[in-house]
Amino acid sequence: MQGKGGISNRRPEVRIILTIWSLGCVLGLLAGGCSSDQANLVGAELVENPISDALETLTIYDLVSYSALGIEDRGQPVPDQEVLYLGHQVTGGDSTSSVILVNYDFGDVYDETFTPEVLTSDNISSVKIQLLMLRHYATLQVDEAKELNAEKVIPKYYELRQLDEPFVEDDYPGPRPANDRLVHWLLPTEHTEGNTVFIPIDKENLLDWLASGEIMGMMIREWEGVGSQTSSPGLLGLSSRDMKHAMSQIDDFNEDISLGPTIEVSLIEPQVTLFIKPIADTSTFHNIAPAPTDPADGLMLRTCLRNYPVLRFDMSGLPANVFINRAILTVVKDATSSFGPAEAIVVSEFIDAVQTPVDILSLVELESRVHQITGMTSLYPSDDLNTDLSFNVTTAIQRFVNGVYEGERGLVLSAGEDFFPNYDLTIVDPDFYFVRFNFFGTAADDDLRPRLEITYSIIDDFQEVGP
Amino acid sequence: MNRRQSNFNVSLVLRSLICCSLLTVVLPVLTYGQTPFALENLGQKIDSHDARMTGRGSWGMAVFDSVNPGFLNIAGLSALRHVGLKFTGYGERVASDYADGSRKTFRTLTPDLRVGLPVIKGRLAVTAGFRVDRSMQYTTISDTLYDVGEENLVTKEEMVREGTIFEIPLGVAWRPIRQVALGGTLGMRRGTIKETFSQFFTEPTTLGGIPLFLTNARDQNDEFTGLATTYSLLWLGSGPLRFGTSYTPSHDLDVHRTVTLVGVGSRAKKEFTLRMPTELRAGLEFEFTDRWILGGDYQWQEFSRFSGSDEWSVALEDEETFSFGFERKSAHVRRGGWNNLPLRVGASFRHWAYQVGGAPIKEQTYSVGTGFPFPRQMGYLDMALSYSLIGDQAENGLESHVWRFTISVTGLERWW
Repeated sequence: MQGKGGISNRRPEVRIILTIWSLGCVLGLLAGGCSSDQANLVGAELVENPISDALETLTIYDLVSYSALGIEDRGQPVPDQEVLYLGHQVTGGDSTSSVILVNYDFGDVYDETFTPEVLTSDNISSVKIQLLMLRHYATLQVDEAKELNAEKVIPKYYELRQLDEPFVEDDYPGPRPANDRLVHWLLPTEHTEGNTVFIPIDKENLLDWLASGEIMGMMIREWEGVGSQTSSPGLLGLSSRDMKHAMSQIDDFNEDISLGPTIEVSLIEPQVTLFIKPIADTSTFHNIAPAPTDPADGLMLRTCLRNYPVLRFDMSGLPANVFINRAILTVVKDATSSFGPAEAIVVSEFIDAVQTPVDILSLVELESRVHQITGMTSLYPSDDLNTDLSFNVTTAIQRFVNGVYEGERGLVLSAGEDFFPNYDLTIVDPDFYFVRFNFFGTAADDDLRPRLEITYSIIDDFQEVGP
Repeated sequence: MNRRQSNFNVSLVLRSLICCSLLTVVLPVLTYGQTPFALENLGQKIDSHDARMTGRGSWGMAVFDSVNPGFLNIAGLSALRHVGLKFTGYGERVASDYADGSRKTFRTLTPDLRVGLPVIKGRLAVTAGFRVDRSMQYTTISDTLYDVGEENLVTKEEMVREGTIFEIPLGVAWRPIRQVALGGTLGMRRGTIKETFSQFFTEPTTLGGIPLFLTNARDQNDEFTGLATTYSLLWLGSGPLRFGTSYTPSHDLDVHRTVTLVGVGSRAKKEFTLRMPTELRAGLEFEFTDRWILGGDYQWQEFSRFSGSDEWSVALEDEETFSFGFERKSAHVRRGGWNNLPLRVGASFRHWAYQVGGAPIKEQTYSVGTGFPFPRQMGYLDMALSYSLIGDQAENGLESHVWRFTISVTGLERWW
């Protein structure tokens, strides 16, 4: 009886549980997987676009200020640089020229091996100065080089001249010494082995220098030439005594090779070579085209002797409270007047954009006044296929529009300095290679001028008052 | 025997609650979105109907029940003899169609949470709670093209509208004489509607796939504050007929609007006031046998006199709802089986407060429901399943088919 009663009592429970379970099944079927479809066009026609002015465009050509910023790297003055520059680079309406100055101490040559008795005219087989070309210049091909059948070398006529007195490091960059006398000159392919140039020296000259026991100054320069015997234009980079990146920048370099313009004296007995190393060397950069102070004349970005242009565009035509969808800074390179190896160009915000056409900052000061925006690496100055350089400066322009900064900010174009780690991809710093990018100035045609192309959107709500 | 039955009921209730809890927890993860008609204007009207009312057609103005109290007409709470707590939530599946496509969405909402407290049993009660008045949650995405210079920008435009306008009603119900009960509430109205319109310029891109043009995103955030009063009356009479009505005078909703264009440092702010119009409700309930009740409600709100937003006013018109249905009340007959269960069936017809596509939105709802008593009649678990058709594709360009499962849990306790 009890068992029967128990079953009977459970029947309603079973029924109700079954009911709930059935309802659950119905719910499950209704839910049909319970995953909503992705949002789509259903209902879209009810939506009124509240951004009435989307993707408006504005191209700004006018500058409110410009500066050809000069940068001094006080930690790396020209006489301490790793590369010596020689040659004459004519670019459009200006030119850049440099010779190499070297000081040798002939009072500190003799030792136990190389005595006056050994270093005699009869016992010296040859005397020459060795110059090491950097890989970029050793492999550089220019049209003129091909014509002269001097493959892979800028054809240069070298001159070695003796200065009346040693040069003073602090004077450089500066004018080329005037008082000198020719020691030797040579043809472009003569005494050139790979990346090494040997300038022969008369041994009597050497003996005179040794006899004087003084510090002597030498000048190695490019001979302008006569008729068909003319140097090919261009600056040539050679190893200085301060070279630290020889392994990466000079082909076939090994530790036995002397850096800097070294005098090699080969003896007959004993059969050894005396290396007289320079005690100082420098490039003169005696003729340097100044960076244009008027943006109408063009913009210049230069490394080694750094010049970085700072631009501040006139954004008064841009409405307030806009959202910048895209802002592109475009500068067009004049490939015919640009030269040098590949370099990075970085665009940064420049704090307290200067108003004066020329200003000089130290590298440390520059670092404290820039905020990196974007950049490009491996840009070849003389590449005439990709002359339009466009930089995405959207976020910076939005910050300008939002007025987040005190004072005025401009845009500075610079090389890949150490403080731009994303663009400092090469082993050497911008003081190493002499690179010049010339950009067309504000007087050029619209498609060549520096410009800021802004695409923006705005909503009416910022103008409305009340409901 | 009684104890055994009681244990069974506790077990049943617990299982039901677990079931409900699971639904409440699981569905929000998987669901999102309601009818696209909520993209515009005031949004969708959400009634304070519990599952019992929903099941019988969404009417309940004349409810006077001490065991399963209704909170639609506050005057009816004067019947309370125990502290009453009511929780209502629902999950819904919406299939929306338009000429060139359709979309299925899910969502859950907890529109109503109320407590009623008897001060004098069967005569005087106070109430507080939370109820959603208007709701909107929908997202659309469409493709378009923009020309910028020589570039064609492939653009996806996304609109997300979401938010609720809700009320915290504090009320009192009083039955001064046997045939008449009175009620009143002071409702603090609050809410937020957020609209985000985005334009994703998906092409052209960089070689790395990053779009060249940054996304436009406009955020509009409206915060509502206001105070509404509602006066209600319940005529109980002495026979099987009961009548209830309520009146909510027009009131103000202050709106603080903040608009941002993402990325822009400034914000546009403005303040304005919406004049919400008068709302009237009335309902009848006829208990023609011990178990069978027939009834219906009418709701009207004069939105044609709404003011404060020109953008909304142009499409507004009076909102009306007519609902009716019947209920077979639960019984407690031993071994009654299915016959003891309550059974509710009904329908309602609503004319929405605003037009879409130049035509009024009409909503028709058909529903069924049932429920289970808690032990010793100390509460109810009610359920309703309803189907609604909102709008008409030919008239409005859209229509939505809504399947909704509503659950209410009513708990009574002698806390007073």
